[in-house]
Amino acid sequence: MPQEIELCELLGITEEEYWFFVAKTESYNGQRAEAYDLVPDIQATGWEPWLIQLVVGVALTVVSYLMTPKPKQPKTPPSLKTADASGTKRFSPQTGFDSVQDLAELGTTIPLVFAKRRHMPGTWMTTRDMFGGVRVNTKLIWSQLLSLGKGQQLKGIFMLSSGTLGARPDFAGYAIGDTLLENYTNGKLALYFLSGERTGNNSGRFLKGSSLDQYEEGTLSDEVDTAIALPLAYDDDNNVYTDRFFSGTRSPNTQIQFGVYDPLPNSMKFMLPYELVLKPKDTKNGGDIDKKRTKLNTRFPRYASVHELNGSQSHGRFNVSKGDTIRYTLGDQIVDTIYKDFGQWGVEDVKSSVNATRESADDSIAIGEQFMIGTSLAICKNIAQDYLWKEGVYKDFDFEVTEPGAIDVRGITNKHNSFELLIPQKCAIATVSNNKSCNVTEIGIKSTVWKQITGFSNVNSHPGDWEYGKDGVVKNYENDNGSISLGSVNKYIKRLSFFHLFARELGSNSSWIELGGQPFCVQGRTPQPQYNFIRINHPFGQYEFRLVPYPGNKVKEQFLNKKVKRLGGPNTVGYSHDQFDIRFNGSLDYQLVGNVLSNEEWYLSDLPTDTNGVALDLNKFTSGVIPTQEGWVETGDPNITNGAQGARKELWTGDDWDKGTKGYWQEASGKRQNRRYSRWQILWRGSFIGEITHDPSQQSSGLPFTLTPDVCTVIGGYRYCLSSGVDILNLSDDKKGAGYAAVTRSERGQVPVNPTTYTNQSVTNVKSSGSGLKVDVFVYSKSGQTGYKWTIVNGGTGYETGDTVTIPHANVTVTLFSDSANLITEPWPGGQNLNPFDAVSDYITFDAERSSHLDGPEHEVTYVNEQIEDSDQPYTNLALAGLRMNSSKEWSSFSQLSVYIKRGIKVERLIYDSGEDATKPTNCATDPDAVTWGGIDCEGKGTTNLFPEIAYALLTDPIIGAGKLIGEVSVDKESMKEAARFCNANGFFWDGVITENQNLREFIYQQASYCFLDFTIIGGRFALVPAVPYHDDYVMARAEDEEHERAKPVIKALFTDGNTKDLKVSFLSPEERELFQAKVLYRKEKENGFTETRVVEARLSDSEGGSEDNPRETFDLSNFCTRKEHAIQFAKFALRVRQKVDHGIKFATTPQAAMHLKPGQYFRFYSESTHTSRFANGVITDDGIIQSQSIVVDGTSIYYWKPGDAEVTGPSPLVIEGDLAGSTFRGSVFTLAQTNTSDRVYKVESITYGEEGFVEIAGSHEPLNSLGALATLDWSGEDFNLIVDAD
Amino acid sequence: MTPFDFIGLPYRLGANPEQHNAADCLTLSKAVLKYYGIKSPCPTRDWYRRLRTNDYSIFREQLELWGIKTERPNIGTVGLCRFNTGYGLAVYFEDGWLNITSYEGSAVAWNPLEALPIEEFYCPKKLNYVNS
Repeated sequence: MPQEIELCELLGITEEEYWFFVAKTESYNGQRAEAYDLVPDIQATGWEPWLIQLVVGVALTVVSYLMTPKPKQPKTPPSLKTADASGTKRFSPQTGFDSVQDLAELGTTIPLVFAKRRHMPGTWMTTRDMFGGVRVNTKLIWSQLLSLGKGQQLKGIFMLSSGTLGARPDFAGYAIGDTLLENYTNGKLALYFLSGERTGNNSGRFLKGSSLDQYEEGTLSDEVDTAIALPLAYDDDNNVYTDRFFSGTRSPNTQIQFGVYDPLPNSMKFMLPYELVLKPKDTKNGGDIDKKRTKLNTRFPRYASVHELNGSQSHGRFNVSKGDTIRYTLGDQIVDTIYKDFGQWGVEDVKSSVNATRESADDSIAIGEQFMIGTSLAICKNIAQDYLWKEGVYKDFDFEVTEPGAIDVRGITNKHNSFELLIPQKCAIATVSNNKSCNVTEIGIKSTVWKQITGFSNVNSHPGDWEYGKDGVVKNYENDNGSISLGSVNKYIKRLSFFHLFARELGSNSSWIELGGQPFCVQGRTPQPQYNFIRINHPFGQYEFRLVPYPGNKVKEQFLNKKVKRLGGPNTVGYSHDQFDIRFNGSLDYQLVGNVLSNEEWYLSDLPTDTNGVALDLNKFTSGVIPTQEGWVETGDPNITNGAQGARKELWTGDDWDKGTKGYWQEASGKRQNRRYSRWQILWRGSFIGEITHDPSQQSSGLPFTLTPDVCTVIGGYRYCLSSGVDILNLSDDKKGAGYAAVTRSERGQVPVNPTTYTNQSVTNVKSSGSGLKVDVFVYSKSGQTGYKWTIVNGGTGYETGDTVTIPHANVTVTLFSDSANLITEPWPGGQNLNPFDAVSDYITFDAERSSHLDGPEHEVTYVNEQIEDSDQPYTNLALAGLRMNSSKEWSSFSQLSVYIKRGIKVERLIYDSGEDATKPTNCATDPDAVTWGGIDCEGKGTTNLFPEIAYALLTDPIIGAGKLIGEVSVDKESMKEAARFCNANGFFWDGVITENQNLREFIYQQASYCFLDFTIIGGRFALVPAVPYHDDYVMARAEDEEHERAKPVIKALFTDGNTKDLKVSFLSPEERELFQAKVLYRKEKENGFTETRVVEARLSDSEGGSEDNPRETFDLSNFCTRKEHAIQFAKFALRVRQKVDHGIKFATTPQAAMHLKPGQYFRFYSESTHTSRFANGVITDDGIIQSQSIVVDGTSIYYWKPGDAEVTGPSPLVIEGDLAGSTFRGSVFTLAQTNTSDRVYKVESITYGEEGFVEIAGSHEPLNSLGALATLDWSGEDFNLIVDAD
Repeated sequence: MTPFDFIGLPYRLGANPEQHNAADCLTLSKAVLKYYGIKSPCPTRDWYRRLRTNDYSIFREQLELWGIKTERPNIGTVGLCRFNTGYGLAVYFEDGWLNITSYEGSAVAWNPLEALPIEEFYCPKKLNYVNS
């Protein structure tokens, strides 16, 4: 500036020197006098006629027709149309649960629910004015899914909260997902609740018959007659229901489907749909009719087959091994060039179907696709031709075997029945792995198994003899030149689908063990899904299970007239295999007779009547509960008779003499006395177990030990018994030259008590005309408990399927299955049955057949229950909900059970809702369950939604809080009471759920601030204190109140530069000081309904500096805030704080000066600061002449600097003597030292001891308005623009 | 000096704050009263002699001569405080009391109204106002 230049010239200093001086003096700006830091100058700153004519017209026409003479009718040939057959086509599908809420994970935080649906103090009790309450998502801690045949039932125990809830939630408050449970059919559910108070053995148990435990609205019948409703699971070992099984269910979602599907023909025949073709006596087209009949009788090849194995086209059944190559070929045959003898009838229809078969096969096979070829598994590795198949070209598909099995190789032009050969078909295998170590794994299976005939002749309605030319109706009509047309069939028919169950220990990579030699069978006749289960009891640990489909044609080949395990029905049966005990709903002895494997709808003409009526099966074979006792339980599957691993009698060799399982005879030779050392040695699965040596009775005579293997020994807790009868090795085995015995291992367990056996007992007919059915009945009794088992020993005669008889001794009525008339004949035209074994066959003969396995797997694993035995399940001090619920179409997903809580957990109350001190009931001595009018019990506890009471509980309660670490002595209870009254009076309610681990101090601090509270720690004691001034009724005092004096902060200390030191000022960052638009989220609660999240939007009005362009900041109070007014107050406060508060200070002072000060209180800080200004610079010449634009007098405080000085000196009082500056100041440039004072109010944030006995105080600025009230509480209406959702 | 400047001054019997950067309750009170333009007597040697012998009655005597008892403290009010060790004076300032306790190492401090054990409040007689 010009004057500055002049100054430089006057003094003769350079520009650099002048700027050095300016920089130095500016560093004094804000510098506190007396070496204190500066307290800066803070700026926050729609015929009738037509109809009549029509009716008259029609009447005249009829009259004229009736008046017309008629010609004589010729003799009409007889015509017959037989009956149609149709079945139900529409089904209301049964449903199960597609998904189930996940089980809570171990270590998951147990939620704490704090809620109280209530009114503001002193308001009328209308529902509209109620606040509070919270909907809580539960955590599933025990679950089990049950298969009920036509649906599923979920049983679950859900954790609501730690502690004891103040009241049972309303039934109307329960919801699954976004649907209220009260809208579900009440007969399909049973609901239970435990508040958390129950202790003792029944802690965490829902009791039947207790109106407190069970909601009367849910009327689902009990699972079983036990005292406890939940938790409840069946203990297979002891044949009882128990509450000591932990159970967890889950719905796996990978590798859950299993079954063979999308079958490909392997030299299968194709036949045209049956037609009854009459040849009238007087016909002139007899030749054509014969050709038609011939065409219909013809078995056409489908020109596709498993054609080669490892390059060989030899036909036959072959066992294949891993790595073998199988070639599947689609032939190039052109049907109409091969079949030319059908005259005018042609073969276009045949050609169309056969070509469609090949085209479909071509489309179905892709490289990498897994197929089950026969019983082996193979993957398509190569497709030799890269074009789409069409007539005239071959196409080869090469598969590599991945798992061994058997295959059938045939020529392309062969035409086998659909049930004869093993075919290729896609294969889905389900795998279930345990997610936790358990004793029991229950697998829920959903099966959709059906077959359908569409548009086929109703061959059952074929009149008379089924063969042409034989005497009967057909011949009579032919003689009369008549016609017969058969009705049609459109109906669902039965189908059977099979699979095997395998198991192995998880992670062992050992071979899969087939659990039972017989496959499981699922029979279905409609597209309705069936829900069944298989429960595997196994040693404690983690296992994996595999469900592998088994081809129907292999079943027909291997199990015709044999028994398999049938899934379905209400009865639970079981069997053992090795260390596995398997239970399932169904039958163990399902006889696969020919009729079972066939549908009568394919039987031409009348169904056979020549039946023996032999009873083959009963719907159940046990009743009552079989009492057990401890004994030896034989392991292994008795149905496996080849000695393989897992057989009841195990005898197999490994790759060396000391591998495998066997008992081998070690004979001692020599003297008679030495021969007594002959012995049986036992090898069990590669491990030498021990020996069976001397028979004491023979020892003395020196006879050799017995060669008869029927001996047992107990070693290592197992019993090993040797037996003969397994003929897999001959005695001249060259490895050891010794004979072998099979080994049966038994383990200790519960076995049925010895039964009283009644053999050859006749049954009593209930609804039957049969006779001769006899059974053996086994009666097991022990300690008043009796159970029965029975087996058929004579099937009798004259029984029909569905007849009922009574089993003697057990006095149980059962339904039987008999061999009805045998439907099995040579396939038509050789016999009457057009499609025998169709219910099981893997492929089809007619295009009219549809089957559930053509398009996809028929089975699916829907759930896995994993259960742990002898689990205490100590669900004490937990509020629980229990649910048993049947699935239905409208509710197939169980996503999340939530409950509306109106009374959260009970904590120690500090005040009543009226604000008065909390008191316990006065009659607790006589009535420990007494409760005061305010809901406080004899422990002084009640439900609250006041944060100070919640914080108090979190700090002092040893169960739900940190009471063991902190405790009552470390909490200022009186301050907490005052804070509770403040929150109560202002409606600062806290209805929320703590669901995660929290740093308690941090949590309380943060939540307290939302409730206008300060969290203080004074003298080591925690407390909450109102953060703002309040009136006598605890209502927050505001600057616009009439009694605004209350809004003035009460000053508790005054600090100046004289009693403080080391002052530090910290300014908020520019982002933290930027004005904003507040978006405050809160919950609008609907009692027992669903919460709505509402928004309060607020900003400072334009006159207050706010703008629509201010950035938005969101404050999510929806976790606890249920009052709109609370949200509005918070928004205004937040806006004012941002506008007004911009810094904080920290300084040290003496203990005496801070003696009356506590955190949360207010203090004043009075300070003087010194500033400089370039407009007040001047120079003093060497002569003492003072040049300055400012008025300078004697004693004016200045900073001065002389060229050459390292630092600026001052502030110093200028000495002027006789209008000239004192000699000290001459030759200097100077600036005036300007002094400002600041006097601000701060709120104490912390008081801590510092060094040298000083106390360090940190405070945040609390600006005041013109009335001296807190500016942050100045909420005049026009100062804010508010947008609030309407109620 | 303003009363704010007194805060933190060390205790020294007989010290004049303006001169010695130290104070006792008598000189502190006098200085604050002066700041408000209220006259007050100058402490005499006799006062200090009596105080050294723990004769604190001098406070009440002089207060009754200088002022009249009042119920509500306000500007110009001097409070007679009773401490464990004796009596002392506190002077009203900024809705609180400025005082200094009479032992070495103490300093002038501001205290909230309710913080000090004030037995009696005295406000100046009108004649003690400078403009009266």
